[in-house]
Amino acid sequence: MATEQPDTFDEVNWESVRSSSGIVNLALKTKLMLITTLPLLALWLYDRVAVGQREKTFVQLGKDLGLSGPFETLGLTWNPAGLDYIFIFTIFLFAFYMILPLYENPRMTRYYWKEFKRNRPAVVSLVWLAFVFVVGIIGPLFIDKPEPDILKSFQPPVYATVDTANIVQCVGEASGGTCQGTWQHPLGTTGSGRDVLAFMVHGTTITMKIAFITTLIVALIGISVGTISAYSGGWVDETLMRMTDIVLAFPTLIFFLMITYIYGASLGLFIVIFATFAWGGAARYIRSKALSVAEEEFIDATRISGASRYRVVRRHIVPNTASSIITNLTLLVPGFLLAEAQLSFLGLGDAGLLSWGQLIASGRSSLEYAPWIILAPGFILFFTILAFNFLGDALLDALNPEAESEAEK
Amino acid sequence: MTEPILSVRNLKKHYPIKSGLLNRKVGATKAVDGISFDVHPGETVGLVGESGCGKSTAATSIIRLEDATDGEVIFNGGNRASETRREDGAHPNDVTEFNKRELKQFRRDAQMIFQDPSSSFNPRMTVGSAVAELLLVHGMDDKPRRRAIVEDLLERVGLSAEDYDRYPHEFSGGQKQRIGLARALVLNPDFIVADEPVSALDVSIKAEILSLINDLQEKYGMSMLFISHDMSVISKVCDRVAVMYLGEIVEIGDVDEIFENPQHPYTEALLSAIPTPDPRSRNEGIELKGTVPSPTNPPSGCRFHTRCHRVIQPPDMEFEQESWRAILNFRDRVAQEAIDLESIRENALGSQDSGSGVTDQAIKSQIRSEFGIPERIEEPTAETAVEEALDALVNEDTDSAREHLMSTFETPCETSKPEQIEHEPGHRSACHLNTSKGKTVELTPGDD
Repeated sequence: MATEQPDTFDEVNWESVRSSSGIVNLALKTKLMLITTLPLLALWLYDRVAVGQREKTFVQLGKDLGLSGPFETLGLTWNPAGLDYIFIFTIFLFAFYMILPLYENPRMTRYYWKEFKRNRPAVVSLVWLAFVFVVGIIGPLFIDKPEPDILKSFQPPVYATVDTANIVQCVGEASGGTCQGTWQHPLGTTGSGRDVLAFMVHGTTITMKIAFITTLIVALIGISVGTISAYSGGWVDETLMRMTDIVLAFPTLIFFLMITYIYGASLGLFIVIFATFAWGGAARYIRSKALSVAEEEFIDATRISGASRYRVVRRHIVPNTASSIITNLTLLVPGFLLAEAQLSFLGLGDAGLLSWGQLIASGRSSLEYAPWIILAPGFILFFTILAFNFLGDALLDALNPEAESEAEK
Repeated sequence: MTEPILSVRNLKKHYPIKSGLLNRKVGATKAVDGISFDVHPGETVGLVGESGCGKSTAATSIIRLEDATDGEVIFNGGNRASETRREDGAHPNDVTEFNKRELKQFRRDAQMIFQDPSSSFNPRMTVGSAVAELLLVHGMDDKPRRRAIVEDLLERVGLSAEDYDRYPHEFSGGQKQRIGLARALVLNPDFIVADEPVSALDVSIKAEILSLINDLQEKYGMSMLFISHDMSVISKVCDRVAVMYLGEIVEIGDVDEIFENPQHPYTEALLSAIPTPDPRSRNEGIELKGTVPSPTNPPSGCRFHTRCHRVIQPPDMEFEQESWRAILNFRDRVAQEAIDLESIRENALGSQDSGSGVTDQAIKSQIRSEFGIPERIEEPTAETAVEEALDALVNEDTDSAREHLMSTFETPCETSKPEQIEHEPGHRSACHLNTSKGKTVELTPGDD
């Protein structure tokens, strides 16, 4: 037909086009993800297989690679736990699937930013959360874990004072029965003599771990269940939705207390239990949104292009449910942070954990004369949760171009 | 005669109705119930009918967005020409039997334009990438080449190359429909199904898009199946037209022939609905009363007889056509037990002057006037039957009213299904009025 119709725009020889494909054509984000995740996986396997219980992973790795010298000079003695691997993995996901696409599509990014920055509190919230994120990631590299030192208990923050009757020894100047705070402990110390600032920096990492890992688990299960349920229909839909009902009705707190009673509290347990029973609402929400998206003509238009079912769901249904997913998650995360703080405050968390909740709990009995132990982490927690809520609200508006175009009419 | 690019044979699409605890099938909605037609290379065939007649379902079944219940759709476009039937009678080019790989190839050769430009694009994708996605899906990994093809195409449909990076909500409806056209064209198909592509657009934009479709079709020599409810649109783009009513094709033929010489009363009614620009010409529109019957339980015989303005009268009677239609409507309503005596009584009360109760006579004449039955029917047998039925109705004896009406009034239209009659070569219709006028044709699956 091409020879008879010289006006045909571009005759594509599909047989030749079809032959070229393979790993070279993977998207940049997939390549980067593979490049970063594979070493992480290798390290995890190495940790599991070759490193003993009492050895530190990187010390052992240095020995095995014959690089003990350089590792020591760099101060690489880190001993990552299982949760750390998952945390790093989620950060890679976040960087390559959220941040990188924003960089790759500057037009889209500018558009979203224009919409987003109309909401001033949300911009402030974003800055705050970015700050918390950065502190959580790099803070522990510069600030050592606060060690208990009973001689330095209840030191007041800088410019504040405390009655010497309540403390063992004053690090700063003591005059007239009161002890002055010093820059050595800018935010004071706890009853066990731990530095509050260092405690909070390490607590930020815990907060980030909770936020990122629960988001990953809830998003993964929620999106899969919601979209599969909506797009398959029939008995698949029925089974998944009844499962969702069970998850929604499950008494997670009681289950968590029971597990804690048997195995002892740990952060990993908290995250896994609360996240695996929190996706019910998200799944149901996403399903209803996906059902309405699946009715749209552009889904038919994509199916008629010859696209696979996976492509239709991945490229067209999931992105169009994004606004509901993001809102749902930004409202879930503060819930987890609060739950952790509350359980810690009630003494149901891992007492050895350097989380904001544990810090608040440790100031519980000395609130009368050492309020800084509770106030500092309390404010930070409050602002972080507030920021998540503002952010969710603004993202919902910014990510919904349809609502915007309706409003312009 | 050349080989048709598409031949549809006895295509059916039934949606099962399920109910009960075990989801047992209790019936079916016969959206498309055995349609047959051909589309020849370079030709545009219109499919016209009112809402709910199954024309869009026919389109989605032909293009296989939905699986047909029965019948064949033989597509000879692409490199599929001159295939013959296999020994078991199946055709290698039967779209309804295509496997996954064949179906994907078919997608390259047959595309579709959608009705609603506002929902036919993913709001989170630039229009360029939405159009380019088809190339990607079919394996073109070369991003600059994809972009070049799509930019060129956007210019050909009257937009600019810079529009590639814009989002759907930044375009007007007409512009979006141009992009929809680009999307349908990007794989360079031989055949396009256009499902009411202009019905959501303003009148001025409509004309632009129609002429664009005409130009592009002429330029690239595509064949097209053009679906519309609007006869005036059909006359602008189509070479031939098939008129659908309740899942069946009632008339098919060349556009000129059908417009000048419609053979089916339903076609007449559709044509009379075209507005004329002359304000002085009194348009004698044929008004079709009532709604389209449910395709779940279609009327017996000719499916159009419940609304036909030229329904055939019983051989031994002679009426004004209008009162005959009125009597049939009355009969059908009685048969459905849908006569609300209470509201008729109220209406009768309202139209009479004195407020002292309603006589039976007043109710009967109220019923007559509501259905448009004259006070006195010329035909004595008919008059007696109607009068007896009315008496029974007033006495709230619906059964005997139905009995009287059903036994007296029966039209040949409801007893037997009309055959397809050929009037001119290629012009066929299915109406009892035409049985004597031409020769019966039967399209069989082997007839290709």
